[in-house]
Amino acid sequence: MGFGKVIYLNNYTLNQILIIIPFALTLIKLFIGPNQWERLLAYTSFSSKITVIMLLYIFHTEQFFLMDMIIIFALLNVWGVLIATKFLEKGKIKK
Amino acid sequence: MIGDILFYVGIFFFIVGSIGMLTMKDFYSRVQASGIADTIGVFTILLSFMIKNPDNIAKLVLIALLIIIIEPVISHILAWGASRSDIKVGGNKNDNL
Repeated sequence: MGFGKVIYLNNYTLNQILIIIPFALTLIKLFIGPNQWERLLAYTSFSSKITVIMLLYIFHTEQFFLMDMIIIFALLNVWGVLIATKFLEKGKIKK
Repeated sequence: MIGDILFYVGIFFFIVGSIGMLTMKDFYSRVQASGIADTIGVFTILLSFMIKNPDNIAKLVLIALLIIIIEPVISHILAWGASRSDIKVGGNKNDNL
């Protein structure tokens, strides 16, 4: 590259650096949330951002069979939130 | 070109949703900010990957349909459970945020 001391950022590194910012904001909310509902909200927001990290990794390394993992992750995300909500609502899981 | 622009638009939606989740003063306002911004952000980033890689469009369309169904359902589950708990609409007195 002949640009001397210019640091070359390719597209993958730049995208990863950019997506750190909403991750950090969501982690702040996850730590300082006043009650457990806000922490659950931060968890759901965090897990929808993890999908984008997975997509970046899959399309950078060209391992396209790993896209099945995103489908399983999204389905298990709904199931986990539903179970946690049923638990937090009354303090126990009703039958 | 359009794929790159859509990707950065999606990251912009993520950042806006996270800031809204940190600075709103009510739990339901935070649910609305986070849920809508995350849905549109993931969907826009999936559109950008569809434009960049047309060979793998089938699974990407499947993931997009799944995301656009699942994310509002998660927001509705959270608001439903919080309304049946002791979360008030105007904000509780103990919340300092």
